[in-house]
Amino acid sequence: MSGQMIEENILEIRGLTKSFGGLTAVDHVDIVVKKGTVHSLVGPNGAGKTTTLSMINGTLPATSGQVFFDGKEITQEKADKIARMGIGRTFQNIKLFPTLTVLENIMVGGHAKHTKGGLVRFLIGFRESNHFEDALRAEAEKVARFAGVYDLKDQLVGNLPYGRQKMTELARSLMLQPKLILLDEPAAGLNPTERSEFVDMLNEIHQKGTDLFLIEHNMDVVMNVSDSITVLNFGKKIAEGTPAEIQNNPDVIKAYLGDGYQAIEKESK
Amino acid sequence: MNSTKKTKMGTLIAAAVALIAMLVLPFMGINNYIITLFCQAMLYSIIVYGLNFITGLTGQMNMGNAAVYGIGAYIYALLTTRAEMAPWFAMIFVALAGWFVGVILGYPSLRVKGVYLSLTTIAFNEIVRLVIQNMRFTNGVNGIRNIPSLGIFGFTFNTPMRTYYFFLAALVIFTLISIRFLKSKYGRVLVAIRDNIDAVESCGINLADIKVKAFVLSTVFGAIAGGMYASFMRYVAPNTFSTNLSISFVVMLILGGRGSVVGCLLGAFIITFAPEALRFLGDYYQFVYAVIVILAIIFNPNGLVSLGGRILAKIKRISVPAKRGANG
Repeated sequence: MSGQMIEENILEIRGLTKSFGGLTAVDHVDIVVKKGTVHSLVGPNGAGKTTTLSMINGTLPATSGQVFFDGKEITQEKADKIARMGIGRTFQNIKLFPTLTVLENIMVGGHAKHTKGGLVRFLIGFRESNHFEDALRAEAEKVARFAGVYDLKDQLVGNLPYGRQKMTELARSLMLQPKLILLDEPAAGLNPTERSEFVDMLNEIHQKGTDLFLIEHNMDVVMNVSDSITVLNFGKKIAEGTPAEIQNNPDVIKAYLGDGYQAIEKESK
Repeated sequence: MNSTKKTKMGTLIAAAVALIAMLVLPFMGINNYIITLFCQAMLYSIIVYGLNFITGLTGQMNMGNAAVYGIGAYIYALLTTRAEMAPWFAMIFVALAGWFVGVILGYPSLRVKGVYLSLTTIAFNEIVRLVIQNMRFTNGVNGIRNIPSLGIFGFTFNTPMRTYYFFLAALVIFTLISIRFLKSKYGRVLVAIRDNIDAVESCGINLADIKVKAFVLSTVFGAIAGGMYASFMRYVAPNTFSTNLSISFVVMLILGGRGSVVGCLLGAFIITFAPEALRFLGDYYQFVYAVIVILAIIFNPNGLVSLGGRILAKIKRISVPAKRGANG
């Protein structure tokens, strides 16, 4: 088991741990995400889900444990390199650039791809750099159209309604053509219409060959899109399996509803 | 679409008018002293353009620009006098020195967040000034005299009038580079860094790399302006390049308007001419100047460039209800 990770896994986490002083936010968590699947990470508030996500994409250094992505260990890599290797990310409370337009936001997402040569080459080589800029813009427009924000492309993103901002953020993460996208509560704060629109888009992204790893609270989203689910509670993994298995797992029910729930259930019988 | 085209045309016309005004200005019967001030303001504009890339866009304060300016001036002065190098050749070394300082200073101080850039650059400014002041080969506090001026095809820029046109041409070039940088993907990412630094990394962008690039461009601008200063004044002394001057550059940027080329120009020209305009105040000049700067920053934090837009918005807000009243 140790050493190289298995080829058919896009992401593999082994014994991942994060301690903040005396508090262990994530405690020896193992997760395996197979290629071609949608994996969800669920758990009550404070279970360590976002911390896990931040350790995977390198924004938070892990205390111990290992992260493998597509056959390579990425535990010690920097966030920007991990993003270029093919892991995209969206945030729990949207992190966009409010003073830039929708299209510019999406273009920042693709900045790293079209970087060739240094600054001098960029400033002097008018034709070459204009060509890159045009290519980047064209691609950003394509992605904007896909995300349904094309009509708003020249608006400042700070003026957009919440749902459209979420779409813009997802569009931005698509610009580097990631193999895996980490989504932190993508459906939170969306109304039912927006939510179903968002789920459709996630399914479409998935069908195009990008694997998804999401944190989610909305059970209709989790049950509809995921192939497998991992449940965290107080930093520890308490269950793993298909949506049907998780729904009937007594530990999961206990974690969400407390010990009293089963007692009431027994009494009522 | 139409309105953006209109504003683009408007900007072009305004730029052309400003350029023509600058071209005919020396013939309007102003004396050499005022022409010298214009030359000074143009140099400062170039430095503030550079400052704008890093302080203006990402919000990290660089308090050491006067030192970069001084390094540029001294390298030009030493190479042309001691080494008797051809002036234009010396300017190449000046630009290289700017690049070198940017890399040396940028890598350690831009990797960390917060006030560290301000601290390292203040220290850098003082170190540079003290070294220049106390070294024998820089001739200490006496400075360096008889520096040869730059010239072109045997035409030397050795009078204020000639220098004025030379600097104006340089200013146009630096303005174009500045606009090109700000409108490029680099400018866009620097704004993104100011807006939300965490998200930029998750987009696969190497923060340190792009900040150092912007910083190096700013130090190259500063050093070249320094070389031009030495060529113009034909005399350099260490006291010119104090931390006070660095602070003045920051004031120019903030007073004029961060992130905007027009703002940089406004700031540089206004601060350069302020002592002249406020000369009638005599001893109270410093006090009044300080009060004006404080008021401007408190009530108009986005700088003079934002003032026009704000006034327009006010007028609209007043006129819209009036129209509604007429209809109803």
